[in-house]
Amino acid sequence: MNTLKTILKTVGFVSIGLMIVIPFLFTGNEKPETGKTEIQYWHSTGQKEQAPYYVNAFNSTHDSIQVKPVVIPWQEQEKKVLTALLSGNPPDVVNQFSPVVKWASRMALRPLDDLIERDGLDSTIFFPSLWKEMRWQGHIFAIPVYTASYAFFINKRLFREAGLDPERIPQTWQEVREYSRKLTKYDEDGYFKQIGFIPFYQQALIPGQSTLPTPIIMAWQLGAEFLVDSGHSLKLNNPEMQRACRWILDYLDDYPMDKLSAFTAGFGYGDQHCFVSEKIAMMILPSTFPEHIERYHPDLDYTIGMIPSFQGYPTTSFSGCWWVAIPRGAKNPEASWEFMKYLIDKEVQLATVEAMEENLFPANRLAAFDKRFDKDRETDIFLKHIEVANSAVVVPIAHDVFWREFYNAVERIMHKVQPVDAALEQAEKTVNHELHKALEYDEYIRSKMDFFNR
Amino acid sequence: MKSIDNLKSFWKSPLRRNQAMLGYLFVSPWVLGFLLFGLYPIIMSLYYSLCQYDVLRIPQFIGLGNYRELLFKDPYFWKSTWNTVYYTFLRTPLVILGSLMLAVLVNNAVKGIRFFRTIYFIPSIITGVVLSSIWLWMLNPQYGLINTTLAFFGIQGPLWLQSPEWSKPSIIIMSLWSIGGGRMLVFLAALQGIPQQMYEVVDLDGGGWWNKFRHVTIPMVSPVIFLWTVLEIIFSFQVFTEAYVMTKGGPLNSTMFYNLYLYYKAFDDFSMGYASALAWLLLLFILIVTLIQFRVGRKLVYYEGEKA
Repeated sequence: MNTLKTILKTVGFVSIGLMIVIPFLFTGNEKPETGKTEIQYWHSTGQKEQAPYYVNAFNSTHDSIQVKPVVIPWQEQEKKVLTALLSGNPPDVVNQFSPVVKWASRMALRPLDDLIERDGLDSTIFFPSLWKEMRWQGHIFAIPVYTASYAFFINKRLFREAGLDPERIPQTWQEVREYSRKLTKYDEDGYFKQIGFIPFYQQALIPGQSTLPTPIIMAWQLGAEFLVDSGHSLKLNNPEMQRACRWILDYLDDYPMDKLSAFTAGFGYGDQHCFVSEKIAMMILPSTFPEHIERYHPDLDYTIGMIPSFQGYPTTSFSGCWWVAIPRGAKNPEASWEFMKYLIDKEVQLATVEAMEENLFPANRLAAFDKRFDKDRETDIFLKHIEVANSAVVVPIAHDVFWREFYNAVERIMHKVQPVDAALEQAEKTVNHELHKALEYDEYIRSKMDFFNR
Repeated sequence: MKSIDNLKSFWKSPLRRNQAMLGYLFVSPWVLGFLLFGLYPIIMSLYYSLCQYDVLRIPQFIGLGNYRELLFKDPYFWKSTWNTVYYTFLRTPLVILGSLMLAVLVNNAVKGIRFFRTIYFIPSIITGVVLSSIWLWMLNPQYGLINTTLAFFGIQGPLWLQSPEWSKPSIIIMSLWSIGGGRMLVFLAALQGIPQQMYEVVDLDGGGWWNKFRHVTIPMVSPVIFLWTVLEIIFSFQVFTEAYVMTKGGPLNSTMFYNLYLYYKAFDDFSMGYASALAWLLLLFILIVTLIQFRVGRKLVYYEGEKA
């Protein structure tokens, strides 16, 4: 009896001891071989099974540094990185698509200024709209690697059917409106069978991905400034935004909202995408879309042009990019930096976009404008859009709130629940409230720790 | 005094002490787990709810600031609360009644009843995201099964998920899909526990099926009805997946449910302090509703073995 008790006791104590000790056994840094630094690289592009081209290329040319790639799911990239940061054992390099400032403003990334200065990295090789996004409060926190672009897609077959010249892509919004009337078809019950263009509708390619709606592009084209007071407040209820919304409301007079909702509800992903299934004839779509067409409807007869603008105003587009950065607390900044510099090398960039399954654009302009990359008319049009792009990060430290409020306001306007200025005013107020809260919090943090002088 | 003496003598006996120690030892993994992964986060979230906090930086104590803003300034709080209350109080009675009716139906001793029970149970196997995708198509205003069927009878169907008026009812209708699941089985078990003599008494008194149902079935299963009402209300308050997958809170925020708003605040905006405050208010709200139910339930529920 006593031996049994002793055994039980021992087992009990040992298991409790193990529970406490085991977690600590796995926190140490693994060093695979002497003289080699292994760095963890998290990305969400490419396929799970195979390492990206540039990782293999880097590993085969570098003896002292070995990169270990880890694929994180696209929809969960933010949450995964967040938990990794909180655990205190983050990856050495992250490749992300969400706004740099979202992380930089929260001190989640290591400032790169010292490394950039030491190695004399020339920032003018990048597209300016992308480089601008890497900056927060005068410091650089990330390096842009790839970007996507946008263009105005038209369905040539539907153009011909409607008696329009498919080689003449509409240049102004007014023209789009006239074309759209000709391109719209109804069934016997008065429901839409096909529409030329829906100015507030932007469908994402995959669930969970968001896209920019037309009203903000129009406002940018008219010259709207959203962030005023040196970044301390948002002006959404501005004349340009109002004009864009009113124009769209006027446009929608020809398209009853309930019928429009019924029509757009039928759109899906893959071959159900409204442009792929030829339900919409004109649409602003990303540079990754031709591949999408190739996969789901290879016979689709389409062409691309510049995004239309108002008569007399220049066109504009928007941008976002994949960037790489070193999370705060990562253990091998030197090795990570070596890898990051490698990624933006012109030749590596060219070879990478060639090998990638997605149709992405190099962030390095020297690569983007190289003849080996910029080889056809389509690429040329996409590149022109990157040059005139605005950043999709409109309100840096209240990014998600801004877009949520923006979409809500546009929805209220289009459903005629609220007049244009009231809806914009309401969204502006909510965003500004959040923005001010974020700024106050930021001030508090700065008073507590002098992070930037470290 | 005597009890303390007892306790003293208890601890004096080495055998007893040893047994007690062993007992504690055996429950310790659970206790440790609970303290570390249960109680600690709960207490911290209460503290964070009093802070401005984005997880990546240190919390800034702001007292009741988050709560004040939620209750008096945030229109989304009231909008999402209203949406959730609407969903809960319309859905719960329908679900309970539906499950009970189905249980009564499959309680009949007809031939092949096991087959029917299986048939009714099968839909509940399908889970959240898949179910949402199926219903997204069924509810499609132009091509969906429901509106096509309605059109066959000459009825013009609504826009369902695309309409601010119909989006919540759509999600409620959708959730009735699983009335044949676990709930029905529990009701069935309760129904089968009712002694046959009780129904025979009604027969002797000349009562029909309604009297049997009203005066025997309902009182006898009332504890189960009560239990499920309490549980369903708690579950309904946590509605999330359907709106997250199908509507993202739209149109016009008509399906912005409480938990969806909490999710956006926490994981899009990283406003963890604010989200914690939302979570604690939800807990408080559910607690109050449950306490009220227990108060009311005491009068309505018949427990066998208790004095009537």
